Amino acid sequence: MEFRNPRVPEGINVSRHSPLYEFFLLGLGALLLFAALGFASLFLGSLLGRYAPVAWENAVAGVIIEGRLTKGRDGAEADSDSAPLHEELQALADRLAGHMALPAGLTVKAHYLDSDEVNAFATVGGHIFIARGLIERMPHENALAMVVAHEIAHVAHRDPAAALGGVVLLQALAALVTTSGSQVPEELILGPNALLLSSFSREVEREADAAALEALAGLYGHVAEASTFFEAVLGLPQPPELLSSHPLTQERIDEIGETARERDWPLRGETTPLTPALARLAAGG
Amino acid sequence: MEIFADLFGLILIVLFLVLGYGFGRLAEARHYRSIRRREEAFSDLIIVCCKTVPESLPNSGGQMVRGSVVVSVDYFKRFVARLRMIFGGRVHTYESLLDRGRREALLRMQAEARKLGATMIFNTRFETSSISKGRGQSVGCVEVLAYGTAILP
Repeated sequence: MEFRNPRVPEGINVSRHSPLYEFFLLGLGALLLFAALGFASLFLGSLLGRYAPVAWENAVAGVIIEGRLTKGRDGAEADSDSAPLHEELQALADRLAGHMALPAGLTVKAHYLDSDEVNAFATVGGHIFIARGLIERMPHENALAMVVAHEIAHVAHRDPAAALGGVVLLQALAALVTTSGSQVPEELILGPNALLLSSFSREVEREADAAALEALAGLYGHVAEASTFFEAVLGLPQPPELLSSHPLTQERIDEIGETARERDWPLRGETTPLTPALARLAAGG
Repeated sequence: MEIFADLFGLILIVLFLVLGYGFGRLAEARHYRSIRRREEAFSDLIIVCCKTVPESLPNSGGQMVRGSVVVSVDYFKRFVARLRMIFGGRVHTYESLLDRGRREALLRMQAEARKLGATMIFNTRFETSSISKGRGQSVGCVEVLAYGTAILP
């Protein structure tokens, strides 16, 4: 019997595969997979948020919003300077809400925000916030009403609940993937979906503009000066549309005119002055 | 600030990948060169898996010889392997790790046998164990042990 040591044959146990090729192929596959999963969870989450019972939205707002309101809108806690502003904003919001279809159980709670930013936003539970910086740029009630109505429209369409639902589910997915030790960076999941999220929200903004315009027509009988706010912010720097959560300002101004003509709402009419406290703020005192 | 922290984490991962790929390739190429050279040098020291020694062979007793090696995989290969675990299939990047481990263990066993003056090793066996098992974030690391009976002249 003769024994021999063979030369170890190469290429049987170790495949001649380029690891870089494998890296790019698998990486691309994983990227697409997570983008798809992320989009699905965002979509499903926003659907769940939008159609969840109003009582749930109010309960969530009780935890995440109402606990953080430092200045009570009524009662002794209220800051004496901003109390009349709160009240007047609330009165304007109530008048506008009368011309809008809010889901049962959801009421609008307006808040004055002491901030230089030219900003207003709506959040869960019917809370809307109007910043000082914005009010200071408003020449009359009609312009401010467009902004307030726009935010009420978000509440009525349940957009904040939808956004919250989508983000919560997306974050849950990201947390699940990153904590399962899969070495997948969170950016891989959150990155591509930030773009999808912003285009998704631009559509939502267009719908809110349309609903706001309808409320203005109902309240004043015309939609004069509805685009004043947008004209005021046109001078401010704007992000490119792809990255922005809102449609471009000029586009929104054009759309307001178009909708008004379509629905036969007069584009001219008598403007209503701001209520006393708001007028004092707008006048710079 | 948070975006900078995220970005920094991402840059760190890319840096590890590049370093892992570069150094991993260098180390592997060097190791394979050394393995092939030593396999050539030890080609006269026969390794077989038979349990019994044929009567015809001169035989003055036997002794156990062993070779053990611990090898680790680089960051790049581990990353690719983790991606592979999502989709399934041959984990190409781990194949060379185990191939190098087994061949190196045999060579170390042969080196021990050579010191004893043996020319043959019978009943050769392998044991492979992962020494980073259960610790997800640690480096993929294996120990390969080869052992057999060296026939003394």
